[in-house]
Amino acid sequence: MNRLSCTNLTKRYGRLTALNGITLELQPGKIIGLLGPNGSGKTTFIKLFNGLLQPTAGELLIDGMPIGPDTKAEVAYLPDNDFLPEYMTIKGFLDYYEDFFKDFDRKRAEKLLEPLGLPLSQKIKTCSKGTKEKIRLIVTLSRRAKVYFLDEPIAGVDPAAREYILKTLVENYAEDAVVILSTHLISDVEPILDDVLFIKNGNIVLHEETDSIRERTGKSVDELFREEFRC
Amino acid sequence: MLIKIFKYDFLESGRKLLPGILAMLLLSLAQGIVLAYNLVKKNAVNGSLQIIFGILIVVVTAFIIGIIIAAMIIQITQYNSTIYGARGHLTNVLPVNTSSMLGGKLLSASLWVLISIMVSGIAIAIIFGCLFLNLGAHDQEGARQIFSQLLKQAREYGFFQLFAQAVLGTVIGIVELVITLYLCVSLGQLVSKMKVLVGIIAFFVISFIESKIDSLLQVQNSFDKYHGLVEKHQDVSVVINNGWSGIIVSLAFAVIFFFITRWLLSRTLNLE
Repeated sequence: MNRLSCTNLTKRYGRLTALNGITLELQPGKIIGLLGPNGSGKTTFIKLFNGLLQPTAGELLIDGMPIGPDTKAEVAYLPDNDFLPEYMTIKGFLDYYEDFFKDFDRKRAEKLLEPLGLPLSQKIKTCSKGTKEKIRLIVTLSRRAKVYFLDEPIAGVDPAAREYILKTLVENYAEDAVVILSTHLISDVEPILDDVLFIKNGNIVLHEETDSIRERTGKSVDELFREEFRC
Repeated sequence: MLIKIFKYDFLESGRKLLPGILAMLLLSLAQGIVLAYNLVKKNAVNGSLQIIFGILIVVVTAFIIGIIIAAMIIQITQYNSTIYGARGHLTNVLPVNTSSMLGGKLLSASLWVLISIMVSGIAIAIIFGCLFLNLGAHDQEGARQIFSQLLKQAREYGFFQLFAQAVLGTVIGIVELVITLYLCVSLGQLVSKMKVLVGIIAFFVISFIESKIDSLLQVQNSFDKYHGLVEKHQDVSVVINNGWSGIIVSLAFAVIFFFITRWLLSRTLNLE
């Protein structure tokens, strides 16, 4: 069974077509790179599956269910903006996740937070930008979700933090889950990707396994991306 | 899930409102002490103390009025930021159905507005209580007699039934006002620019339509009109029945607005 599928998925913002009739099926157990330049439709695609945008046309399903509270219980989403409630302490935020998400593994979250050396009583608003990003990633990956959507998790962070984020991802995502990771920093994520989706002007122009791409073209995903999206 | 939404919303509002509420109670107590011990007259020669007492009166009055307005503004901004702002990326991905989400927020907001009204009432009671203590024994007796006379007349005119009705009407009125504001915020989100302006216009349009429907149904919902009805019919039961009609109409509006807002949230949410 497909973990995630969409049929003729279209999203328009006024006259601008962000997604143009995408039909797609994704199976579990893979880390999939959603790759495309800025404005190609990556975030729109992710937000539609999280119910944060309404499609203009088409159907979206997660585990055969339309988007709603049941699918939201299965999806862990890391948006590209700061959604943390600033007034909460880190402990309070873990309580919040534990209260709302049955699949939240609090022990894992606390274990992942340990190396950061942050007291759980610390207010989120007093954390640095980098620390906040790590907290967001940790709570997202501490869920035993069936689908993970990570929207630009490594954009705007230093190389050391990038390494930390990707290492945390690979070591912590549920094996039977599908991870959709959007980015335009291909070289950093290429080693961990099983499949890639190239998205261009709201269309999926390539959906293929990374190994198959290398065999077929003799190029790395990064090289192929640069060729495909050359300005 | 409704309870969990309520819990977090209630706590978040409380963090913003409680300091103001406590400050208001303390200031009204200070004002009461000034009145109870007749400190204004006793310190008539001290100009700076007189100024402080004057400022105190202004600040307490501002707090009593301001806390209710602050409660309303906090509820609107909290709804807007947690649903349509950056926090919406967290709130709207919770496995909670739209009714529970909206219901939890509505319950929390209404309760805070009610609490702020009640606390304002307590602050006024503190001031008047202290003022009563300042009266001489003779004046206190006079005040007691006036009060008992008022109570007697109130009983005769079915005032307590009207009072109970007013309390219920206030609670339902608050819920209706909060859901109207939520609806206006959601309507404002339907446009890409000037969302606040559209929300404000929506509020005035809705209020106008509501008042027209009220007059069509001949619902009398102000004390002036109650008085007019008593004069006209010489029968309190007419007024009471009319009061119930007003409450039912108010409740009906609240339910309709709830369902429209729910529909807007589930069908038109677009966090671009």
